[in-house]
Amino acid sequence: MLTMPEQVRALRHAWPSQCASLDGLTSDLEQEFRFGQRVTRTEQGFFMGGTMKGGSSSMWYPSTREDYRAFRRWQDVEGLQEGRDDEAFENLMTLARTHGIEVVTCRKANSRRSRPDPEPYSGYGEIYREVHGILSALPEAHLRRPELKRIQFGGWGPDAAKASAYHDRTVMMYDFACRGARRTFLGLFLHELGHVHEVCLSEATKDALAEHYHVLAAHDAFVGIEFLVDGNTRKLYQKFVFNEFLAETYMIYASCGSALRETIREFPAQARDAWQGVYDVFRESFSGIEYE
Amino acid sequence: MPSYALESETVEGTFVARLSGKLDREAGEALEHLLVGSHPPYVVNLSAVDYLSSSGVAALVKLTATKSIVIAAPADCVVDVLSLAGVGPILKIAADETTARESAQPS
Repeated sequence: MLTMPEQVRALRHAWPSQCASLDGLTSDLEQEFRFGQRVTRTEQGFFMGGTMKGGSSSMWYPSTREDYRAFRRWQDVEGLQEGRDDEAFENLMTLARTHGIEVVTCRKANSRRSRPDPEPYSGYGEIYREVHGILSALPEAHLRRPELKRIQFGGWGPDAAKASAYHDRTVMMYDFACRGARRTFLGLFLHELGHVHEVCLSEATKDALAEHYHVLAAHDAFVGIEFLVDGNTRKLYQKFVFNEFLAETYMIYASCGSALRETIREFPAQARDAWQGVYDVFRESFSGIEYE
Repeated sequence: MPSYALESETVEGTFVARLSGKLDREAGEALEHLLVGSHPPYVVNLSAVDYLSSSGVAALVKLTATKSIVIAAPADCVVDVLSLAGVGPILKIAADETTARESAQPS
């Protein structure tokens, strides 16, 4: 039985609201901030919008000084904090190098052409710490894979606004994810590792999982963990796309552990049996490792 | 004053809702309410929506699952947000309202 870092294990619980403790934070504002929206101060006043494509999003709405202050308070609590953590940086680089994974950042202007910075950005201290914690708690076999050659932090997707992606043997955590909520980053990172995992599964294993998946879809028995979007949306997302179900299940298997097992026990018989089948396949694909 | 406007009409048997302004929780609820009181097939024209919130995304996903809506003519900024939320692949999106109405018809 292994244990994921505390912030990762927190994914099993509903996302606790900060509205009662942070001045000016309303539930609507909190939901937008969780979705990566920010309040920015400009010469023309305050605006709320997303940090898309390097901040060039056309979708900015007038906001207020009060909302700006609420955003800053929320960001202090929920956001990933930039700053150096040289020990975390060295730990992550050593672990990644040991398993043949390259870690790069795309902070500079050339990142729009997907060219990494000459040296990884040192200010992602918290990210390096969390990612090292996650990778350390995964089976070695999941790190030493030809399908995972690189992890990229920062930069932007080539075709569309994206928070994260897995493409060309690279897990990409784009600028949007690196500047947003900690919980969203962690959920997305494990989700993308889930895509690495699903492409490594044999066709026979995927067929077996697909059988269980169809039962779960028929019973609307998916598990929705809120990050970036609400839990119900994440459930529907899985219901429509099998590969997303596999990636999401990887994230849930690793982060929720005992909570997932308890949830499975609470499903009605047919869904429970299907979930147990999914769980057993995942346990086997995790070299028998289960999570607290 | 609402930050959105919502109008609708039935065009050749398809219920078309046209939304403009901000698609947030309030607008999402209004859209859902409008569709509950009408008959399929449904097209939701988002060509005049210039802001999509997370609640708006959730509303579109829910209406896709429960009402099989087809979204017509979303602006680039709306498509970006849908992509960002990762829900683009599960939505039915058409480039214009005519194509959306054709797509919404039962096959």
